[in-house]
Formats: sequence, structure tokens, C-alpha cells
Amino acid sequence: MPDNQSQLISSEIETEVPRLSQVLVVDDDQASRNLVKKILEREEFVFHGAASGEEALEFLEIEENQPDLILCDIMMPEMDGIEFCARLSLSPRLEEIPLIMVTGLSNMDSLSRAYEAGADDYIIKPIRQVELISRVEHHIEKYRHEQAAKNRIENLSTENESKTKFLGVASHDLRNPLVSIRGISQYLESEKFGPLNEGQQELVATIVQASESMLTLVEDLLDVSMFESGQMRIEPERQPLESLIDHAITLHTTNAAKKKIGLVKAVGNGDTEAEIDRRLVSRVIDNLISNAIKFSQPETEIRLLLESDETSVTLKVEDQGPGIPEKEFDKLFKEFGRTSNLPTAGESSSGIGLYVCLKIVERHGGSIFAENRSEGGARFNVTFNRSIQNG
Amino acid sequence: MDREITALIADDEAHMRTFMKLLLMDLGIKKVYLMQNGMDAVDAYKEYRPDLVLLDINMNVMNGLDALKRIKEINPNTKVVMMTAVSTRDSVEQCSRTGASFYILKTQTPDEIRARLKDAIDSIGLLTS
Repeated sequence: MPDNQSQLISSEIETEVPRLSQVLVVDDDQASRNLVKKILEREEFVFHGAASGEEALEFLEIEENQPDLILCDIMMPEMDGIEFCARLSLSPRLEEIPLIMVTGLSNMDSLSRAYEAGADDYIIKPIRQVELISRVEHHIEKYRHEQAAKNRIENLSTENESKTKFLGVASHDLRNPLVSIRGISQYLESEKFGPLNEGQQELVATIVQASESMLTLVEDLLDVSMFESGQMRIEPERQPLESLIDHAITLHTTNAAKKKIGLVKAVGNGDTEAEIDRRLVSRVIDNLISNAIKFSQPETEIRLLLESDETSVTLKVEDQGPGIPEKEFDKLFKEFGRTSNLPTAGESSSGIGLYVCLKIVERHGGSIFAENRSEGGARFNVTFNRSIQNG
Repeated sequence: MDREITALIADDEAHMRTFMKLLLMDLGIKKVYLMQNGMDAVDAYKEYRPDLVLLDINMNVMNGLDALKRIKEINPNTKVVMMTAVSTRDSVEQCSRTGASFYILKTQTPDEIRARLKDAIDSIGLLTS
């Protein structure tokens, strides 16, 4: 820790003592260069002079020569200011340096071409000291801020990438042991190795529940790391959405029964076939059903309605829970966005499930939204296009 | 029907070996050999000739696919179940091309995995108990 701290302090000090700003002045007229040099040096700028565009480009070719600003005369023999400017814009390193054109009143018409070529500002001859310094300072400050912001963004995105990678690796390695813990504890719970007393039953049930919710979280985190690293591949196949619903109902019936909640399916006219990735869409359905169970009071009903038309299939998950607080709709589908509603039986909620749902549905080109039912409770609507290409 | 089915499990994670062994024993298999990598699995296969082999795909030393190839070369009729934590269409196809009979996703529920293992045992058609 002490090491880290001293590093931090020294880097802070470094940024607090700014180096002197460097200005490159490109002008074929030596008297003008000298005048500008005098003004700049009086204000503690470091002056570099070049008598032509070619000479300036030679100077800039060396990577250590990175002025904070370039002042360039627009009228020069051979390469004029506009061509010089155009040449700079070919290099990503040099293009960013702010460039101020110096022009006489008679050349005002060429200014628009200078802007097109990449100039940031202009000063009219004869140069006045106050104006020159204030323009130069303004552009250098702006340039420094932009550079700082750019560096910050670069650092953040590198950090974000490594976070995403870590998330993926950690979740992946956590998943298998959790699968075993859940499986083995479910076996203990089933009393295949002999009867458990009441206390033991309660303990084992706790292990089962905890490992189940951890497993869900780990799966969600894995999915999040996949979306964020752009690695989420979907393998869509045409299949009836209804069969995924049936499978999900089987999986959730036990949990629902523990809270005396009924799971009811209703299918409208027409088949429910759509091009979907079985694993991913099953995760959407699982998330919606387990949410509905979590936030419903005992002895209520959760309805799964399937509707279809020519081009799409829609699943509606309706519960008789408290509904979504009106002010919190915007939180619903955000990463770790939990509403103020609490699970009714102490279940855990990471707030990541609906974010995962949204990402999966979007990846399919479908849509998902939530609403409150007029008769109470919430309704989640998920629509998939029958065909991903046409969607 | 005069001998008991034996099985071999190869997985580099101890908890997975325990879990799968538990499921197999629950399905009536009394003798289960446990190995940590594909190489040991092939050696053990040569020695014990189990009726059923469960192979994790991702293992050090020798992975499950290579072990599957070797075992199928020794006896093409062996029933092999491949196990993985991450499934893609490619990996499923590769396993079945190489001769695997069944495919288990470790994240499936214990009941689903048990059902898949029961199918595998039934396909051997030797169950005595």
C-alpha cells in the first residue's frame, strides 16, 4: 500500500506542474516570425520557427516535436498555408494539434478553404499582442482538455475491457462448483441417502436455495460479460416458443408451489414458431417467471399468455404482485437496476436479470417492455419476430 | 444379464466426479472408476473395460474429444457420454461425429442430467439391478 500511495502522489504532482506550452510558427517572412517570437516568449511560451511549410513538416516528422499549437501564415510561396494544413490532416498525430491561420485582410476569401482543410481559427494581420495571446491560450487550453478527456476515455475503456474479461473468467470458474453444490444438496434433500431430521432438512433446503440463486447470478454475469465483450453469439433455430414455456413451467413449478403460486399457460390461435436461440430465450423466460414468483404474494396466480400473428410471437407474463412503482419504470431494464419492491419470501435479487433479458431480446431483433395491469400486478411483454432476417 | 454395469468418469474437477458418481450410483451402478484427465481415462479404459464412459470435454493432459477418439478405436461399441459446461452447436456436432452417444450440459438440473444418464444406461441394455 505505501508504494501505491507514493506513486499516486508523485503522479498528482506531475500533473500540477504544467510544462511550458510550445508553439510552432510557420511564416516565410522573418520579420513576422521574430515579432511573434518576441510576443510569445514574453508570455513564457516556447517558440519554434519554420520559414516554409516543408521546413515545418520536417520538424514535425520527428515524433518528440509535438507542439501544442501551430500558427501558420496563409500566404507563402511553394506550399501555402492551406496546403500545409491539408498535409497535417493526413497524420492522426498532427491533425489534432490546433492550428491558427494568420491572414491579411486581402486573403479573407481563402479562409473558408482553410477551415475546410482543418484550421481551427484565424488571426488578422497586423497581429495585436493581446489578441494573439488570448487566442493561443484559449486553443491550447481546449486542446489540453481534449487530450486529457481522450486519455481518460482510453484508460476507462481498457479498464472496462479487463473488468469484463475478469467477470467472464470468474463466473465461468464459479459455475461448475455451484452446479455440483446444487446437485449434491438436492440429492441430500431428496433423502436418497436416508431420512433427514427437521433441522437437517431446513439446512439442506437453505443450501439448495442459496446455490440456486448464486447459479442464476453467475449465469447472468456470464451473459453480461458476453454482451459487453461483443462475444454473444446466437444460434437461432425455428422452434415453437410454447415448448420453451412448457419446459420452464416444469422447472419452476416446485418453487412456485412452495409459495402456493399457480403457473397457468394460455395459448391463443396459431402456432408459436419463431427463429430463436433455445438457451438464451429460455433464460429470458426463466428470468421473467422467477421474477414473477419472487414478487408475488402466496396464493396468487402467474399467467403465461402466448399470442401470435403472421410475423411475430408474443409472450405475456402476468402476475398479481404489487406492480412496478410508476417512478421506477426506467430502472427496470438497467444493469443492476433494482426497484423498491422487495421479494416476498426473502429471495435474493441482483437486479441484473431484466438487463440480461433486454440484451437477449434485442440481439434477436425483438422487443420487451413492462406495464402495470389495470386490475393490479405487472405484465411483461416479449415479442420475437418469426424470422430474424425479416425482423 | 449376468453381470453388473461398470462406468468410468473422467473430469478434472473433483466435485463433478463426485456428483456424477452419485447420480450413476443412484441409477444402480455399483462400480465407478474416477479419473482426472483423458490420458488416465484411456489407460483405465484399457484395464477395466467399463460399459459406460463419461468424459468432460475440457481437461488437461488429454482432452475429452481425444480420449473419445482413442476409446472408440479400442472398442467402437462403447457408450460414451460427453460432458461440458458450455455448449455450442459446433461442439455437439463434433462429439457426435467422433462417436459420442450422449451429451450432457453440466448446467442442466440434476433431474435432467439423471434422465440423460438413465438413457445412456438403458442403451447398454445390461442393467441387472
